[in-house]
Amino acid sequence: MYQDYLGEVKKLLHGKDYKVVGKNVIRVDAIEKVTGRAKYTTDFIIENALIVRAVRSPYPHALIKKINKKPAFKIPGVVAVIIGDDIPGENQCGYYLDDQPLIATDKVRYIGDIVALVVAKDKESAWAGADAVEVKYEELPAVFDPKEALKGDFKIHNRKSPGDVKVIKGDVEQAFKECDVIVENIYKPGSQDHAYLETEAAIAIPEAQDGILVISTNQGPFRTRNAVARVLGKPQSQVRVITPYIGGGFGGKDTYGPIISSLAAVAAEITRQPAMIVHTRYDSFVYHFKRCPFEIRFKSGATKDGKLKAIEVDYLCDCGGYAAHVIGLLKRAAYHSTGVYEIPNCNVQGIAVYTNNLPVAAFNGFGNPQMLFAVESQMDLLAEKLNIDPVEFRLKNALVPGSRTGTNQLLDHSVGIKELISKVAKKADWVKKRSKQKRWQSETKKRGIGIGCSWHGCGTTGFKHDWAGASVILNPDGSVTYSTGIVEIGQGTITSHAMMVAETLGIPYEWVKVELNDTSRMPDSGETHAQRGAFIGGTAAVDAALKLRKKLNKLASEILKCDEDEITIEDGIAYSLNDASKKISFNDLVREMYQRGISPAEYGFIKARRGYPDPDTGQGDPYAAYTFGCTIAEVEIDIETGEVNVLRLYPGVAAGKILQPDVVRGQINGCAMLGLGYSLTEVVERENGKMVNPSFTDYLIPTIMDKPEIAEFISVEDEYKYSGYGAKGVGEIAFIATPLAVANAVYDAIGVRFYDLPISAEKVYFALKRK
Amino acid sequence: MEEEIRPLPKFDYFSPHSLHDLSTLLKQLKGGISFLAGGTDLLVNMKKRITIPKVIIDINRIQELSFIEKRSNNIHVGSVTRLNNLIESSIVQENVPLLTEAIRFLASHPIRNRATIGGNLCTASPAADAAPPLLALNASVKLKSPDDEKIVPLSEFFVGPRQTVRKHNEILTEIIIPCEKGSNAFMKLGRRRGFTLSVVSVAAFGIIKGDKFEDIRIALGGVAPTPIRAYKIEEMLKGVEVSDRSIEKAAEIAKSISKPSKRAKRASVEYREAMARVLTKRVLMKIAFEERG
Ligand SMILES: Cc1cc2nc3c(=O)[nH]c(=O)nc-3n(C[C@H](O)[C@H](O)[C@H](O)COP(=O)(O)OP(=O)(O)OC[C@H]3O[C@@H](n4cnc5c(N)ncnc54)[C@H](O)[C@@H]3O)c2cc1C
Repeated sequence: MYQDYLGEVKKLLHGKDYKVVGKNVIRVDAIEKVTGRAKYTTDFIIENALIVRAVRSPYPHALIKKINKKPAFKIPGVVAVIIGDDIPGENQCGYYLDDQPLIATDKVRYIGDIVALVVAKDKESAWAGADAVEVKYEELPAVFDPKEALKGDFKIHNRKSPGDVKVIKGDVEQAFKECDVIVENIYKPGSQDHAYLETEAAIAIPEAQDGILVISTNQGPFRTRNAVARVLGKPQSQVRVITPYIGGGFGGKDTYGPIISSLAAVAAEITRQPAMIVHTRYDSFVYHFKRCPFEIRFKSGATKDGKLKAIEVDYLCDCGGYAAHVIGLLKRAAYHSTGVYEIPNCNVQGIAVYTNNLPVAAFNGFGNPQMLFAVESQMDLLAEKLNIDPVEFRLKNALVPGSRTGTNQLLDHSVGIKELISKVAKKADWVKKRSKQKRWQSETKKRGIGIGCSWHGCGTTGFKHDWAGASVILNPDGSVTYSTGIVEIGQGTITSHAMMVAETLGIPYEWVKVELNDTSRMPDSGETHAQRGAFIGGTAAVDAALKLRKKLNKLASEILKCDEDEITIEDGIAYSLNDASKKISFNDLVREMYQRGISPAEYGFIKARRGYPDPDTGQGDPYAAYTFGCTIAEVEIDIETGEVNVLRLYPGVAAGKILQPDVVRGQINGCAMLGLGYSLTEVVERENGKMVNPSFTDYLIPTIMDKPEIAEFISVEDEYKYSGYGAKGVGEIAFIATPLAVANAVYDAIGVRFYDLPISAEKVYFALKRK
Repeated sequence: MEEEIRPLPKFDYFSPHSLHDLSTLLKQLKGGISFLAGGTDLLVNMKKRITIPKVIIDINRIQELSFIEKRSNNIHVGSVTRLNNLIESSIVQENVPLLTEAIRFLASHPIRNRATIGGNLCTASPAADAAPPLLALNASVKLKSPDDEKIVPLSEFFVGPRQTVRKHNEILTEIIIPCEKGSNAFMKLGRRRGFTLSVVSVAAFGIIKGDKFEDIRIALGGVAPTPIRAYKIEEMLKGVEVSDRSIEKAAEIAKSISKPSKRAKRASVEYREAMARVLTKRVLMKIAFEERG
């Protein structure tokens, strides 16, 4: 089941250099995207589709006493009004837990909870209809602070917490006694909006044999299909989800994709007409779920020779009105709470708490940006107390092959963090720039430099399954049709898949066509999250291509009358390594397959090589492999205005084989900007749990003018044996490290440490004033 | 709380092709009128239901409102001139560079392609970026109703947040900016570097003779219900030696005359006041530096 894909591929290629993998090919989707021809969900809107508008609760916590649909029907264009009781199947759309009705029936738990859908012929009628539906509520006491929620007499669900997590290893109490320095602080990293260009949208179209087709913005076509099947009371085979290009996901559409799709599907099923729902930017800001705010108490200790001994961590995740994605990110944060370091004694306890805030979503980093913000701040504080340089302190404790993690997972190979830290530090000229003596400063400006290290387990966290499929069809003309269950959300995965398929088959990359993602042509492949697109999905592609390559080699050896091991295929020509005149073109070879009745199509399928940590101790192997990141940031602070200007970022990753450097650079630079926003400007301001700055005027993502110089990324290619071409994931790692480096650099510049994010100019100004 | 964005409300729509047609139209209409220039404020406000006009008069087809000219010693700018046209205009760059500098980073390129100078003033946002430079330059505006036309100094134009002396049947036709030789400085502090509303902005025009400030005109945005001229600073500096001390004193005055609304979002009162001081100091230092080399 777990193949050494890297070894197999290398054997097949007879140790030759790759022809496609690792090269800067033009992305599969590049031309159509830059010319504006690429199609996104709303480009598929068909004429006469009905418009769906949700009626949403204005109260954060209330009982629904009565819903009167009638006034909505006075509006001429209104076709249907749907309440929870009208849902054909099960009224349930929870992600990990069954705690969330698609349409609330008894009570509402956050401002924006959906109580009805109005379906109309046009937009104006849909909006007017939604205004007209009369809902009587009885308000209940609401709570927005998770600590209060835990203590007080609030009953949002029949339990206060949807879940918790523990990582218990060694003897923490004893270990702290042996520590020479101990640092303990409380950190409060906040929420963040995904702020993707494309807002949430779904179109549902009734199909033959009572089926339904959904085209939507989602990152999990199969989860979306399953969610739709559930609310419609249909078998999964009756629902087909097509996922076109997605205009940014970052996790947000992992959480909200199934929900928005279900809303359109319910409307289409009840009316048996095509129906669509499209969020305005306001809807997207106010109603789609966001990054989970954490409150973390973090205590860590080390001995005076600079060795980390113990951590004690407890933290709260404010999950809002429903569990949604919280359980996964809660666990992921715990499993990464040692940071990239070997720490023999850990006592980590996390709990998620229901409040009446907007629920939380998956979001790039998935709990790690929050947890590692605490980890890496602690590292710098410890280093300062120990009077050791932060880079040196990290190097002393970094994981190496043979190390065990906090969950006691043995990392036997693919652990490049130590080399990565050294290389990034060297590139950034750390030693020189960190020295206080020679540093440039002026009356109004001060500079600083800081480091942040991150790690991120590839694939979904070990309490949920992790598998994926792929299919390769060799067409009679030698062209190749490739399908994957992974979604192209802008990250470039499908390009990497096509490259691996081409390399494995021995053909030019351009011969591979990647199909639109369609759940009816693929076994369940999970979601496109957790850095698993290339790592798991891409390995499935290699699995399928390998099966075909073996058939091709065999056939070629028969035709060319030579040994199978002699055969190689390069640039679309199969030939004997011993006698290059013995050759046959790939097209002829494929045609011969058809002639001889050998199936020219194969499915690939793989399951991640990992375990399920023990729920009581958190001990076990939650991930197959880990990607490591290290970023160094240089900042300049205007001490009169408090503005933090990030001058330069030096990113680096140990992500195994870099399949396509341009794609990875795109990920890293994009992540750096996302991280910059989280570091400096992005605040989800709330009143009664509702976002009150829901526009790009006031929700401040960085602009191109805020972009610092980003150095060419450093890569340590610590290949992982069990994935296609030894690649790990890169989509989240570079984001996570950015805020950590920036926060540490700010401290280096002005000697003020911030325990919450973002570090806005105003905050810096007042902190300096107090100082 | 930020208002919800909804589909546009219904309205009647007229699109006159000349000022004459506009006058005829205005005589027939009763009220509830909004002029539509670039629409970058108006349409947003309509979607938020902050403004619900009965009638929209689109003034984009009135050619007479779109021009940039130098007449004797004044620059005349038609109200429907797009911000990007102003930025690109060599007449403006050569004669009133302070204006160019102030609007160069207003909003974004696509917004500036639509947004007009008249719209920026008529919206009367406390943070409107074109206001402080025009105040510092002693600009005035021409208002025209069907049967009257008058010139109002910009310093008397704004009366409160989103309020001006303009009556509903008056259209702002042009802005008149006197040309003077001197030094200019504009600084804007937003919450990020690009595409951001000003938290505080300061514009100044100044002449220095010898070691003394001969004439300084300075205006601030974002620190009061309207953009304001800082006459107190101007009086204090007149004839005073250019020095760190005099500049520091001027900066202190900027802080003391700042009266930002407590309800204003985006920054606290205390921060705005403090930044009025910092930016005023920097703007004056820049002028002192430029004038003296
Ligand atoms: C994304 C975004 C970013 C922005 N950033 C900035 C910024 O950084 N700085 C800044 O100052 N502004 C900013 N704005 C606000 C706006 O773009 C400017 O104020 C712009 O100059 C308004 O011009 P307009 O032609 O679009 O006005 P419109 O929206 O057409 O009109 C605005 C108001 O003035 C009235 N009006 C317009 N012209 C006349 C006239 N000739 N006579 C009488 N009344 C008239 C209208 O009836 C309306 O009430 C931003 C807006 C957006 C949408």
